[in-house]
Amino acid sequence: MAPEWAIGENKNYQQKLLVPGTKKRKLFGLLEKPNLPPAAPNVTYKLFMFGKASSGKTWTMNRLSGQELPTHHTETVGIQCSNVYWPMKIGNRLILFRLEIWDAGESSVKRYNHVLPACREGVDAVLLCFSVTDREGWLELPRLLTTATTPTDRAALIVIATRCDQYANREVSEGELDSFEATHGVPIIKLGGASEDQSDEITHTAPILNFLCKRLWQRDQELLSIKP
Amino acid sequence: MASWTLVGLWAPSGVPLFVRHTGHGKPPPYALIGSLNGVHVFGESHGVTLCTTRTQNASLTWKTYHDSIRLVLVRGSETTGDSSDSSLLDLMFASLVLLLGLDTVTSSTNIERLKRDIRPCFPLLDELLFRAVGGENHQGFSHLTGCAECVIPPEHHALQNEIEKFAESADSTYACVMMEGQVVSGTRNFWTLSHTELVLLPLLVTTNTFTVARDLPIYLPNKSPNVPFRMLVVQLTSHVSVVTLCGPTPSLADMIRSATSFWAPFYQVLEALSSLLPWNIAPALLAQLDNSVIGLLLVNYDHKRCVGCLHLSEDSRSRSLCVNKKSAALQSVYRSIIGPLLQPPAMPPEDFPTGLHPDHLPLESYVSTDSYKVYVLQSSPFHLLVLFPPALPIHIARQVSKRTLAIFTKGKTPRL
Ligand SMILES: Nc1nc2c(ncn2[C@@H]2O[C@H](COP(=O)(O)OP(=O)(O)O)[C@@H](O)[C@H]2O)c(=O)[nH]1
Ligand SMILES: [Mg+2]
Repeated sequence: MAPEWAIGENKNYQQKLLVPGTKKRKLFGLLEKPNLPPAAPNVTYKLFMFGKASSGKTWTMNRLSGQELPTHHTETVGIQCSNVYWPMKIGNRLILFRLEIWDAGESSVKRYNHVLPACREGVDAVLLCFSVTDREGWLELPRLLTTATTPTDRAALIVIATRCDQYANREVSEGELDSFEATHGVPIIKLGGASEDQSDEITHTAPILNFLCKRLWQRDQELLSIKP
Repeated sequence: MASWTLVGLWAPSGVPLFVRHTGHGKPPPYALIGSLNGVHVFGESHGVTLCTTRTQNASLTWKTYHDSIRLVLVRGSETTGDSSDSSLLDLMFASLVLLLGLDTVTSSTNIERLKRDIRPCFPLLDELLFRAVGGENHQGFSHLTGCAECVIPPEHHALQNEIEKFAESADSTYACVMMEGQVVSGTRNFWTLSHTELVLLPLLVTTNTFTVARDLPIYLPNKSPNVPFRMLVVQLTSHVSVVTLCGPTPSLADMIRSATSFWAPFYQVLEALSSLLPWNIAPALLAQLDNSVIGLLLVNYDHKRCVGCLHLSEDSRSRSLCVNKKSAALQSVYRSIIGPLLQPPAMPPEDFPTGLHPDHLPLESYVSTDSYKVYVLQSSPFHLLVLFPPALPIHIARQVSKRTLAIFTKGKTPRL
């Protein structure tokens, strides 16, 4: 049933994601994309960052897109979208994934009623964030899990455990995370600190992006097989 | 380096709402903030409004808005306050209105909530403070000139038509193309926005450069302080974005789609704009500038635009002056000349002649220091500040400045 995942994490193609001559990831405008062989098909997915205020949604989005990480918390204003390009080999085919990540600030969600529907419309995956330094948030997680997706959007659901690098303040144990995964049948991605060495950023983030793209591709295959 | 602190208080009760601090040292302690308000209240109870004062090592400015928000600006290690401090406070208050709306800011009944509400404004307030203090990578003059920070592109009109069409397709009349926080081209209506709005909107765009599209609910501090707009920002290339002020439609997803298809045919034109960086002016203008010019600031108050060039003659003479110092020099001269001697919109202050010459209108001025010379020209509606190396004789600086002004203003339509 499960296809063979021959995932080529081709470093040559990952180079195309960087600002030439640096190890910094390039910010591609809407009219731009990485310079890959034109035959490589592009697939786009919409992801929505979900979770309580200060749970690390914006941090996670910036990590995935390889952008600078804020040193102090500022509440997100309105909606913001990032495009994360990720080339991956599936089988022996090179595919350019484009993850369109949508993130919104809490007070904008409360004050303006167009914000949440805009984020949820046509979503392929919901990334539910919580911080392992926040016990209260952890206890709320099962409830959030039920509201994260709606039956109609059939979105893939992935939980992101943030602040895993803050050992001293940790309030949720590894064991608890494992049993949560098992009981609820959702994968948890553990997000530690960014690599100190900025030049290593892409290697650091690659496993997470590989996982997300694989998960989304899998979901497509499942949805296709359901359709008559 | 100087230090600047902004304190926000709820005027009716004196409760501190927030403190923002930049530069060296620590922000003032809580007790001192209390006294800052106390001094002001003491004056009020005696029928005196305390506006500004100086101490041995700081200058302070107070301003109260709508009897509700009181802002205090403390400039450490500087003892000369000036009128630009008061207009900086106006911009800071307008920043609160921009993100929260006037009613929320001024008619709050729950102070704890107001404190929370104000937090998303911090990046904008901090950006203003960074600029004022002359922080690295925070160059810009719009907060002083009250005009939009611009670049002067070579093919101005090609984009002009397109931005009008694009705005129309998005059911809007306010739109502009921006590059790295500077306006490249705006719709006719975009330029009817107030000075404050033209300063703050581009600043808000620059406070987040990591994303490819944004939907920001904002209020226009002058044009629409209580009815929100949606500011849709989409990044077209790594440097160029298009900003549109919209009502309930189009959705952000629609905007992403329509902007992509609308602007795709202009990719080359947009991409070519990045060759203006870091000079900010078209190569044809750049080529005409004299080698002795190491920096300049040009303001057109009629068109509400200004352009700052700091990367001039970098290879040759000016090695002693880094971009940061050039920016600081132009800012400092702008503050000491424009206002006290010349006034926007490029006129001498009304009260200037009294007590001096009844018919004396200052049109030119200069400042000379050990590390630079700045020549200032006034020619309505323009102010031009030209930065030179310190050794250049002043009569040459004058001639070059006049020629420089002509480069930008001669011809049927001025370039700014
Ligand atoms: N060290 C570390 N800090 C984190 C992590 N996730 C979040 N943070 C911090 O928590 C703050 C709030 O996160 P943010 O993403 O802004 O929360 P949001 O309100 O959910 O968008 C950030 O500014 C970070 O400083 C993490 O995985 N590691
Ligand atoms: Mg956020």
